[in-house]
Amino acid sequence: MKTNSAVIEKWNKKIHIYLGLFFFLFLWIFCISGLFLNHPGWFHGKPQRNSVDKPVEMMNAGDQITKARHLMDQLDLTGEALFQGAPKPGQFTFVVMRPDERTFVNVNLETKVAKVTHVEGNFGQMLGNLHTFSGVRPIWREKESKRDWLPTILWSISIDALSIGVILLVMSSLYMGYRLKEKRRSVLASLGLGIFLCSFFIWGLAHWGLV
Amino acid sequence: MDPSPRKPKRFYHWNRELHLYLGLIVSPFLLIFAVSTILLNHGMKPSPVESKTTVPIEVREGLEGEALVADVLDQLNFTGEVFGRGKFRNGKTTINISKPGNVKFVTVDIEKKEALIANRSFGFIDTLRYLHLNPGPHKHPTWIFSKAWGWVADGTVYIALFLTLSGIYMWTVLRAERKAGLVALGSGALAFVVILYALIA
Repeated sequence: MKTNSAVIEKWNKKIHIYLGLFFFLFLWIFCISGLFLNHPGWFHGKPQRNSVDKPVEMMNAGDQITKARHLMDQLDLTGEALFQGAPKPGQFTFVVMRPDERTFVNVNLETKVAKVTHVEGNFGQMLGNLHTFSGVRPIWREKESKRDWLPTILWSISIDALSIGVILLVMSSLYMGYRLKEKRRSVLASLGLGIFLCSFFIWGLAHWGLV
Repeated sequence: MDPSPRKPKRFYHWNRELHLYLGLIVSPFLLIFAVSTILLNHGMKPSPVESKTTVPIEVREGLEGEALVADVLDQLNFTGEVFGRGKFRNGKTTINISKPGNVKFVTVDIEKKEALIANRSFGFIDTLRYLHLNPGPHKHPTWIFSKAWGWVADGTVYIALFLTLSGIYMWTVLRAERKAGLVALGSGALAFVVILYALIA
């Protein structure tokens, strides 16, 4: 009969393998997009912008998001609807955000004509948007941030799941390292080096008075 | 002598050693990014402890721009990533000095010959958030430690990419885990493709 620690060791290893494999593509996209965010110069090119005017029907009743969804259906737009800043008199404005493009919609309430401006980014910008597409970014300047598009909700859940997955991967690797008795010194030295470097950036720069 | 049976063994051994030790070195950094990701994903805003003080300062006549910023930082003995051009408007200029865990706004009043220092101290969690967001796409770090953090963040990414590949190699060698591993890899890839398709198709 296997001892408890042998069972834990076996399942810990399995969890490490399965989590790593499940999150493989998620991890890659966040790693690569993180690199691009740190090196914006790697991809050149300005976003492409084009505008069209389209007649629309405005709902009289309903909240902002209901009105925006009604307009998006007419304009054949999908994405996360954002309401930036305070509403302007005589206008109904919002932005439809997707990782690959953003669309600015500005409806003149008197003429019932919507000015629709599409802004399409390059590959690097799309990766950057995927990296940050949480639906509730303070930088988007929404009064009340709320995820209102199903793919945003799913992506946000994926981001949380990946983060928890990475934490579990780290914990399981620490346990595996701890169980390697014959390599304990080198395991502790590697972990210690990582902790020391991390501590330097978290506490050292601000509180230790080193620099 | 046929070296072929030994080569895969040696490769497996070194791959495993690198996976173990690089993984351990990088694990605290992965935790920083994972924990701060959850905070950022839920729009959690930082909650700094703020304080203000006023100190006398000498401003040489005609001094402006980068030279003024450097002079002010020197007098106040502040270091960090600096934002502020040192241009006076209505007799005042503001310099922002930030580092993980601390941000200072220094407003220099040329007439009163004093500097108002607004200090914001951040806790552990907010510091993780700061590190995650820096350097980022809109900043060009000039402080050596900001640059160093940028290198460390890049290094973490490269090592994480290596760990995934070396992990996959080790999994392919483990015959017992092949089926279950394929299910994990396949279901993860399917979930990824479906969500990505919904987002950008």
